[in-house]
Amino acid sequence: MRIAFVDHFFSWPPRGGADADLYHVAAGIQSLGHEVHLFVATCPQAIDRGGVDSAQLPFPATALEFSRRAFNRHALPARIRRAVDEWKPDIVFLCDGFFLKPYVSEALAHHRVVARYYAYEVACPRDHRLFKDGAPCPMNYLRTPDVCRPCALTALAPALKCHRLLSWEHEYVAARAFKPAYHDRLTRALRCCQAVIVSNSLMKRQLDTFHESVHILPGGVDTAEFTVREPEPRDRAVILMAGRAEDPMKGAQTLREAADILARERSDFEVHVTHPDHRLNTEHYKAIGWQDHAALLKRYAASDICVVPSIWEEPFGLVAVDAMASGRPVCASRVGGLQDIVVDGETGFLFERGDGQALADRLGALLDDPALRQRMGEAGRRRAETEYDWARVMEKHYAPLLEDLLS
Amino acid sequence: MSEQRHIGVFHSKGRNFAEVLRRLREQEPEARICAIVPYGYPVGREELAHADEVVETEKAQYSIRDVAGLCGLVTQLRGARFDRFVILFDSPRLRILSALSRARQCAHIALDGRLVSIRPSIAGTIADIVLRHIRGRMLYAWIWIIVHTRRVGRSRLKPGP
Repeated sequence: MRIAFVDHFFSWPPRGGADADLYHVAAGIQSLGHEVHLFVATCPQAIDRGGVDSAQLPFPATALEFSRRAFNRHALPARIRRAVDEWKPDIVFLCDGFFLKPYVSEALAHHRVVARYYAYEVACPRDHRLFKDGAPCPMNYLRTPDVCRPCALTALAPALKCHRLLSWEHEYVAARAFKPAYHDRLTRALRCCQAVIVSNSLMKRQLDTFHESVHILPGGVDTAEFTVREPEPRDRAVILMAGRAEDPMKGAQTLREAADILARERSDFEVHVTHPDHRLNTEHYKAIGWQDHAALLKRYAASDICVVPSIWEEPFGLVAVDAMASGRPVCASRVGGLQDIVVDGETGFLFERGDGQALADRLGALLDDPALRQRMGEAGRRRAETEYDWARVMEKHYAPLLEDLLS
Repeated sequence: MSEQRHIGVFHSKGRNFAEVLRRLREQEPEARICAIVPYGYPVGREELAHADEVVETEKAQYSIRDVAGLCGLVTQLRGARFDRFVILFDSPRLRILSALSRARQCAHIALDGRLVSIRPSIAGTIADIVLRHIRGRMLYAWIWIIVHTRRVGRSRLKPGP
């Protein structure tokens, strides 16, 4: 079978979770015996992504370069359509893209199209995060477009007013996403897809009314990359928070609050956070700055507990899977994909978002009981191997999906 | 023997600073590269490995209204006497900063990672800002009218999930 992947932003080496996901899915599908080809729309003038080093990819890729002016709702779908049609695929996976994605989806509607959504880009024209004023937003563009359109415009106003149009704003204008007709186009484009892939049940609920075949497919990790090491005996246990900790949505403030609560009673721990600002450091809280993937693997191995305190509806939560693959117990907030990944009381603990006291209680329990940490870490590793290893994800989720699509 | 070139690279959020420094080192193996990072930036980090020196600015953030702070920053940059001043984005504010740095050459990193020479002029940059603002405000006004006068008409549906 010939399977095409189309993406507006793919970069390799990767610059985000979506790139890594596409890479592993395409490579995995190829390893299932199918022929794979990636088509990437690049726009070096407008988008700080889209650089593809084909030599580093295990599958063939075609970069379609666009000028800023041509990266619009007419030229982009037309050129992608021509390139994809020439290759004659059986299935097209339409991956990362913002407001122009429905146009591309419609242009490819004569193929079997599978649309992949990595965040809440369908539900939130403001910034695809569905997070406003420090809390998750209950609105959804598909259902409340006349509430979401002015909200998006207010958020984008500063960039629009000084005509500083980066990728999100550029596509917003180029796709005429502010017009009422865009809503119809989006819903129509969703319906003309053969299937839709999302990362968590909230995303599925948002799309269920508009498409009957919405699949929740997890991301994955290469578990062989992670070494499970016994934590070294030391005076202070290390609690690690990895990811973009400087982003308020990631909830570093909750961890800080929990650390302060714990520090009133004990001094046998140290919190390490991948936050760039070392002025936040205290005796029990250390900002360790951004870490690349290799450095993070070592950090996981050198930690005792991992925390993912996100306060937004984290679409998937790859950091939690990384920690589990490293054999570490995970304390995560009960949001988005995290609640599917962490089994409460088995591979770690779940707590209500933003609740520093609840997190402190869970961390206290784990700090008091090294055997519990080890048990949960082992269970997490087993879960990562059986549920989130890429080979398993392909076999368990993508192979049946492909069969289903062809039948 | 030619004098070693002194290159200042001004840190901005949103770019892979390590990658920029690495590429610059490849292009200018003999130069003395100075990474100019905001106050509070973790200076000992591996990502600064390709810089020969690291200079912290006096403040972590500068606002356009903080004239005294900006004067301090300009004085600091001029004092370093850079032969080349590199900014990570070609934004009007960074262009003006480049012009004020008094470096002999200025460059910015294009979105595709290339080092592009620029000739920042304060008057030209201000004219550019004004034109962009006029264009941007017209665009915003057009969108505002559409958003506030034409409705999709499905908001009667209950919010969520």
